Amino acid sequence: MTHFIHLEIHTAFSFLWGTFTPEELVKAAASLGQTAVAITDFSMHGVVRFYKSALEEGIQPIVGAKISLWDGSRIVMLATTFQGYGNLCKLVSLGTSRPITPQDISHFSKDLVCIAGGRESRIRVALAKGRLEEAECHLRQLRDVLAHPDWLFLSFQRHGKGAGLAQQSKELSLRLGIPPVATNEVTFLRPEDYIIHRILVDIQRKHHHRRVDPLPNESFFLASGQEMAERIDYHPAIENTLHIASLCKSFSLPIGRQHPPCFQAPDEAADKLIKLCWRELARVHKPAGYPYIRRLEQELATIKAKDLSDFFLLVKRVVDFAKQGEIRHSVRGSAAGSLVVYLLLGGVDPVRNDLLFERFINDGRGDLPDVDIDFDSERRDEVIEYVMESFPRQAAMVATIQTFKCRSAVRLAARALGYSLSEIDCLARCLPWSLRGSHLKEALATLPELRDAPLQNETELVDLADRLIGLPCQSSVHLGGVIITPRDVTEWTPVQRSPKGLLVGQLDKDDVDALGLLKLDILGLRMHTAIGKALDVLKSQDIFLPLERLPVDDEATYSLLQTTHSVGVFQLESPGQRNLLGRLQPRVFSDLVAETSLFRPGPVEGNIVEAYLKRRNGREAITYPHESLASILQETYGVILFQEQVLRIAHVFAGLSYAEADAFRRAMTKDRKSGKMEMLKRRFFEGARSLGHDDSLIEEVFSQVSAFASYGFCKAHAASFSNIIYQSAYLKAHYPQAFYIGLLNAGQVGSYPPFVILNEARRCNIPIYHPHVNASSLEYRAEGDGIRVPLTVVNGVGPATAQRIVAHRERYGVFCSREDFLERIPVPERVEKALVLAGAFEGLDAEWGLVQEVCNA
Amino acid sequence: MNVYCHEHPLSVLRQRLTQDRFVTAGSLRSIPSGRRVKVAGIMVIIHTPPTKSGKRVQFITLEDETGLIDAVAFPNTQEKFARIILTSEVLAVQGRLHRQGKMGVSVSIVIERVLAPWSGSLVRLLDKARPPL
Repeated sequence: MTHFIHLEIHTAFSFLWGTFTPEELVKAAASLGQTAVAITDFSMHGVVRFYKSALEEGIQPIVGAKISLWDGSRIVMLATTFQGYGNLCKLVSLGTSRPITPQDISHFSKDLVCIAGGRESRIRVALAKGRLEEAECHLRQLRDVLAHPDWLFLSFQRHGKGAGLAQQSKELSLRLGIPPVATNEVTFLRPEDYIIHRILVDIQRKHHHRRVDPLPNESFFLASGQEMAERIDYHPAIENTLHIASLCKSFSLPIGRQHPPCFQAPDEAADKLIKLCWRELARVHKPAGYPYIRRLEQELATIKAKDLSDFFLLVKRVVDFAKQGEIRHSVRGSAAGSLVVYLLLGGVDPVRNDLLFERFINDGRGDLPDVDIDFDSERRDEVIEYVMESFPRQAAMVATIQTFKCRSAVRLAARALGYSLSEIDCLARCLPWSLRGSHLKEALATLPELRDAPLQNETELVDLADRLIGLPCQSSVHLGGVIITPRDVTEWTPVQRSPKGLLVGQLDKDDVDALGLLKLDILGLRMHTAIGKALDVLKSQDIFLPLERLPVDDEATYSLLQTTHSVGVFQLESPGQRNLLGRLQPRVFSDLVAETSLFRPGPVEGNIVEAYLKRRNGREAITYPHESLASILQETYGVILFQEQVLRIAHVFAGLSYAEADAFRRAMTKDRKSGKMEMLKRRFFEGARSLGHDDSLIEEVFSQVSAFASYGFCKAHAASFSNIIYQSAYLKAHYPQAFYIGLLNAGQVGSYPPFVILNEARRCNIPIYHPHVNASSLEYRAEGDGIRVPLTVVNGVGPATAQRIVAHRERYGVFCSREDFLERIPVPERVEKALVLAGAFEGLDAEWGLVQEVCNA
Repeated sequence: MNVYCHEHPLSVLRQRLTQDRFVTAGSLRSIPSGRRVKVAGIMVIIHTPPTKSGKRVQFITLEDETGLIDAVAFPNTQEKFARIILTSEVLAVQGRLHRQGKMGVSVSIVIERVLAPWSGSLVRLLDKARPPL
């Protein structure tokens, strides 16, 4: 077997070009017996997952990228160290906005191997024309600026029947003493996948209107060493692939370790945090009860021991910014179970609601804790900008990778194959947006609505679309994930500016986890927007509602929920939730927490809901496997509903530490088959035995816990969400007009489109007034007891036109007649018609004209 | 227009629907559970959550002038009606009423069949309901 290593490879992360994922590449290279494999995309989006899967497969990952140079040619650069990786990130970053200059190369080529002279490079073009000197000149120019001139290699490629440029390349290589290396610009794994590459490029051409040509033939596949040696009949070129691999041998990505940024000395940060928390506790609880004091001491000790004080201060800084700007926000996830988080960031009281800190942070968790915060959707960008500005060189947005989904794959493949847009609409009708794990062909065979679909007769299209589904097709910006790195962010990932002007990295959230970087999730929650706008309406009516400080026992609020008329209420408005509301009949805040946790696929399918409701409504006896569990399971009538309960059972019944208990919970939810699970099960049994429980009882408790563990929901998260549920339900119960206006002005908040919300308001006997040129504003607004619909809902009236109408009215007075309106605001005839149909001129000519007459008289 | 500013389109159709023995969302809570009913409404959402068995259940929410109607289509119904369910702006169905919870406050309809003459595009149905000139 000939030893050979592919050093120039485009995966699907060279979007709409490469045809396979890094994982598929690694498997294919390993099955060819190759000991190392490279990734050299136009971006670095695929690098971390490539690296991880190569380690798993036991072959050496070589990380690189394709860089576009000043002269239009592209070179391959491969990292030999982590510093080299950082340089590569910097070059790729620069390359997103302009071609790379010789100066860039001289600054950032340390620890990088360079392969030049590939397909379509200046060098190759010059060789093809027989201009050896010109080729020589290009190569010298490059060699002169490289940090390691001896790490410059000349690419030898052969695609097609002829001898290619073997002779000329050899001469050039010998003359300059630049070593040769054989590459194949791998773009598909097998020759028969060439068609996928063609389709992808056609999508670029026909859908994105880019001028780009596909590769000329099917030779650009992952060829075996044997075949490469036959194609490139020049031994040193084959040999040198191994040499380069050995140069890259010492490269490693620091995955599996944590890399938090550090802003101040750990002790200093801890002191600051401790002072802040105690001061805040004294302010919130006068005097603070013993449970609070003990709890705070414990939490602070854990946080200090784990060196997380700096992190908490950072999050506090972000939230303080939101508080100052009156941007509504709330903490989601397990973080809501911490007293420190409650004191610093606000939310639900974890002591009063009996939430567990150890679900959030415990000694067993090496990773950085997740503090996810929901902000008012419309104002979240302000928070993101603040973070970006506060850490100018260290922060970047997380990327997300979009993949071809069922419908988009069919539409785009059809476009590439030259179908017309109307044919495509017809072919894609009734197709689901995405398929859950099944193939398109399977869907066509099983979904009844597709039985007579025209797509059934398009075997070629279906076959191609099926092969596209799941491939990455573009990257975009994660909605709220921001990474903050130690040192410069470009040492970790290439960055570029988004259209909004924010720096975006090329790591997705899994990559960020793998690299152990700190990630803040600055999420948007439209319900915050809606509540904020509802409160604004109330303010304009001189009602100042202290929504955050309301007691959570308002009868009218629970009565409303019991009627199931919950459209618009946060989280409880879906058909399933409305149904559950009727059966659960919530009476107190903890019922809302239970309601949120019950309505999940797990409990619904596992019949937990039935059991819970029967016990709650007294139709089934409440029993506990053992009396020591009564105190833990009492709140949920003996049914295990919360992850926190699983932790407590493992802690109390089996004597596991919370760290072990949490590991036990995670193993049960995620990976039940692993050896770790066996080990933890043994620990559970040993611990329980040593506490004097007999084996049959342990078996029973264990089986119950393990049956329910995967359904369990994080109580802290449920409690935090229930707070917003209560606030929105309270508004709906007491101030429906403001509530509906808030919802309507916040975009689509929940499951229902605006028309349903408006109809709901009408059904609540709130008068709805149609759009009118003299009364409507840019948003829904209160008019007496009713709601005035804005002009923007009229077909053809965009925000700009509406703005013009309102501004003109405010400046020069009301419109007296339709003619008056048209004179002042010229609109196309179809818009005028739409305004007439909407009633926007109603009464104008008669009454407003009359008013005008009276005024003039 | 993306909202109905003047009245709900179903109120325009109501007289004809009542003649055809359709009931409104608001009246469902006064009909005993298990009774067979006919309802029609604007299609609001179709939700198909993943199920362990892999069988697809469609949870459908319709809206008429009196409120929301929650309906379920199980695989046997989908066999015949999936296409019309997925492509209709207005959907008319016949099915069994299912009431749960305190005083039967949670109401849903298990769809047995879709009534094609009253389903489809809203404009077409409104034209049909208009009295002949």
